Amino acid sequence: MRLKTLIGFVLPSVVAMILLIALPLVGVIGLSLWNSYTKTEMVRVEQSTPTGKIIRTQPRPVLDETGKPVKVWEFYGLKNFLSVLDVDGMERAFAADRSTNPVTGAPQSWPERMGGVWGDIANLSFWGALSFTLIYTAITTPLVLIFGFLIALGVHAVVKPLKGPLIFASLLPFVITPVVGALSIKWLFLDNAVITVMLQSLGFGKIYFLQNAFTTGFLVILYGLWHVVPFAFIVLYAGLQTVPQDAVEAAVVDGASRWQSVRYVIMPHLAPLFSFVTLIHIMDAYRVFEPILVFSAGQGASSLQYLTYYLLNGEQNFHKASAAALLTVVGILLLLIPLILRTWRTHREGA
Amino acid sequence: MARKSSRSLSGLLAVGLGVWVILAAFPFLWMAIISVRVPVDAFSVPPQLLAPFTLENYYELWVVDQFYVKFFNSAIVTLGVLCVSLSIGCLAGYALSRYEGNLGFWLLMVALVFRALPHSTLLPGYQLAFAELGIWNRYETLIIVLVAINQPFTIWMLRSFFANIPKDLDEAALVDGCTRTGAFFRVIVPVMWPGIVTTGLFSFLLAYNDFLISSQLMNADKQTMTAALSAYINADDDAYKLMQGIAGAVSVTIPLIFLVLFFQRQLVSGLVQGAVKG
Amino acid sequence: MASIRFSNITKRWGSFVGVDNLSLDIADREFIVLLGPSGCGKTTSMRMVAGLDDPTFGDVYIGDQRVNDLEPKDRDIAMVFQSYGLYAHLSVYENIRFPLKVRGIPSTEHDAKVRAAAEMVELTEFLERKPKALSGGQRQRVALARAIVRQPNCFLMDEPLSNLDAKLRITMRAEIKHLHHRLNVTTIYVTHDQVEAMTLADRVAVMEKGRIRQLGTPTDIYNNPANLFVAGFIGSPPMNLIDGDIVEGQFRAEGVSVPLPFQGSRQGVVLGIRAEDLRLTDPAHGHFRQAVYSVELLGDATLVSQRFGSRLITARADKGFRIEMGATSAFEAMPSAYYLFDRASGDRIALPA
Ligand SMILES: Nc1ncnc2c1ncn2[C@@H]1O[C@H](COP(=O)(O)OP(=O)(O)O)[C@@H](O)[C@H]1O
Ligand SMILES: [Mg+2]
Repeated sequence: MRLKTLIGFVLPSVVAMILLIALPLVGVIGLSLWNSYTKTEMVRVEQSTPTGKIIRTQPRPVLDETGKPVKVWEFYGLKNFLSVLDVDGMERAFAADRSTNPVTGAPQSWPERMGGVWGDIANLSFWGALSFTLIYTAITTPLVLIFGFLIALGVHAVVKPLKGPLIFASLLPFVITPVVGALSIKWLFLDNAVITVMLQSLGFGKIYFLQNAFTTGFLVILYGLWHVVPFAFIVLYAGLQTVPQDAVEAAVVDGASRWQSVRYVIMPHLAPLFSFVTLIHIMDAYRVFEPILVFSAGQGASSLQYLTYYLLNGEQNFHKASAAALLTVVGILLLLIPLILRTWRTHREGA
Repeated sequence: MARKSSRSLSGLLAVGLGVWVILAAFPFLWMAIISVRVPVDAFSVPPQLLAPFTLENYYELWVVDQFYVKFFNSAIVTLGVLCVSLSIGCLAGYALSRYEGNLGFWLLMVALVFRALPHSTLLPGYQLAFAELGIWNRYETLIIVLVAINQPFTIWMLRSFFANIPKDLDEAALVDGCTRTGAFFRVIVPVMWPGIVTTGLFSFLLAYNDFLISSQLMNADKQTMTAALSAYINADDDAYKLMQGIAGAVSVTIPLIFLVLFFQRQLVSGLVQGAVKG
Repeated sequence: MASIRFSNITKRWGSFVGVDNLSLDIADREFIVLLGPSGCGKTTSMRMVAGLDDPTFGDVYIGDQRVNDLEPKDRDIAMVFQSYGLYAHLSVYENIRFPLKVRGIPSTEHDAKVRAAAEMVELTEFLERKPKALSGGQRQRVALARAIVRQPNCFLMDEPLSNLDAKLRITMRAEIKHLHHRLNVTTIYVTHDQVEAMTLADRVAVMEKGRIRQLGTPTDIYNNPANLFVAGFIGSPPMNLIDGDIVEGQFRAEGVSVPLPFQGSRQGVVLGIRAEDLRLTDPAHGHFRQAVYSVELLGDATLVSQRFGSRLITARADKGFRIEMGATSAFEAMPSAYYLFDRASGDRIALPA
């Protein structure tokens, strides 16, 4: 196919992506380097009160000729980034005197001191979001792959009439609207909801799942598994349908045990799919959002996507939000560039 | 010996799958069950399996709170996204599956990066631009934004489907006398439907399930059902509002359940044919 | 109808050279076969005539017109694809009619043309079927019918028989030959099967690694291979080739001694001899003396092989000939039946007749 034809065909799609992804990104870069505020002036106003007239000065937005408030733009350089990265907070975390335990006053060992630094840093919103993202990824990725694969093997093995219903039930948590999914989990863990109550009656004591950082983090991870394991399952299950049957049979004839034929025939065949699921899952770990919002986890368990959202809606500072967004982009590029370069190398050799 | 191990294995299999099915389905079931109860029954201690049935929550939500408006909004937005996204995605995916030069490769890689961006990354940019242009709170805006952010995924997926349609087919049409466009419409379109249905399912989910963009770009009157749930997210203290939220969540889920029921087979075979291989 | 000319065509993908500076003149109405092992650039060459690939350098002419910049549809060609490229959603009838339809030929003429083409390849009974419901041979015929339904400048056929079983292949080969005889349209035919090349071609271009190694009539190529590659590629079994040196007009290699009509000595040569030119002889004075390594009964002949290092030397004996494996044996041939090649360049070294 010629270049001209390619361009003609991809044009609508590319224009949409340029206008609504690339340009906004450029805008975000601009926003992150500037600061803006509404210009105000102090005016003297006369007010009549029962005791007589008084004159006060108060701030008022400055209006331009068309009657709109004047916005002042001011170049900020990297200040927004520094404030998102919370460099001051970092300095404080490192500078704090940790030779003794602040509560008990007992002397602390080096590991304890490092733990203290780490704890303080994880309390800063950006670093907290980043570290939770990493923890989330590290815990869920292997579990998603393992459970997804086991379920795929299981469903592949059951008798035909059961397959349909099993796939149906397994797909539900994957197709579910994430807010709804997160809510449905939350409604099981409210203080007087079914699971909390049942755990209590089983002797675990009353756990206030939504009240502390650790348990909300746990719920976010639980939701993540519940939502993503079915995705891994369905992809791997589809992959299982393409395993060449003669290879499996050859392995059986060669005397392989069930486990060996899974390990040496099926898993190598599915290797690209394991990578695919891992890649998608890691990309999505940056943008965990709905469960954090729903479980009000923000403080204890956050993601970079949630941080941007919070800066935008909570702090109403879209310059800082832009800086946070760009830092996220940098993180993603760091993640993807090695992959892209590797793909490029194989692509060039293949051509 | 082999017999015994395979019997205990199938026992394990049955237990494992049983546990999984319960875990997968329980949140739905419980949500559906308590949505038809009054608040005291829904969160009673101890929890009850049976409780008086009421449609009060649904009535409040759909009739009093006019949730049908949100349903209508969801329908417009989802269908709009589906049509536009698949049409322009097909053209791009087809061309990318047939073009051999480097430009195609880099387009796909840029799309991959775009696919990885959290949507909130773009929000500050949208806020600035849409306010300036005065196109805030419009269906078209939401549709085209969702189309754009779904394009990377759509073209990747469709490209791998098209790559599995033999090149011979459209090349035969080319020498038989078609232009590229003619070949696409005459011989590719008729055989591409399995891929379109599978990709369409994902596009549907992406549009229908979107919460962030819709809740940010649209005011309450034009929000989708999904975004409208934001009103109920933190209503834990207001028992009646909470119950409406539960009814709303169930309502949002029902179309998805039908979707899976109808297209489950398509989804699996589509994945087998396209995405998994490509 | 038209002649076709490749003028210094090169096709590259990145640094990989698929077709290397290829020049070829094909006469009007000629049936030319591009023959070579898989991956040598046959398909690529043909696709550049069709306009499905663009040459990196060089020009393609159809008739007198340079067609590099023409779209495939404007080149007025018809092509049969290796996997047929049938339109699965259309019936046989509609498949054959497709080129007429998209080229805007008046629809009143379609039916007669489709039926005539279908008749020519004996498809008349199957016109209403979908390609899925046809056998391999029938699909092949649909592809042919779709090509012949109009009168194009030229036919391009890319290994059209390679997906058929052995028996069908022979029938279809004859049909293609007959069709060419009847329609008389310039045809480029790509194959890796030398029997197809020999039986069908007016001229054969033997290709290796993107180049034409020899161009000539089938007889010419068989009797006068221009180089080691062609010698080793053409013939079944392929020509026997033995590395060695010439000492005083005598070819020498381990266990081999062949007197040649050659003056003087020469290092680094390859001796070639076709199996059918070798005959078994008295073990005392044959040219090749070794134990019998294997005996293969073909029915119409018996192949007897000896082994020299890693090479087999095979002689074709009468169908009634029998010998034990491991028995001592000797082969010899008329001195004029031998071919001599330079080992380094692969070129033929002329021997006086
Ligand atoms: N689109 C392509 N990109 C890169 N290499 C190609 C492409 N098409 C063919 N090749 C390579 O060019 C060489 C010639 O291919 P081809 O003409 O198809 O050979 P054949 O003689 O078997 O028909 C092969 O080595 C093949 O791998
Ligand atoms: Mg080929």
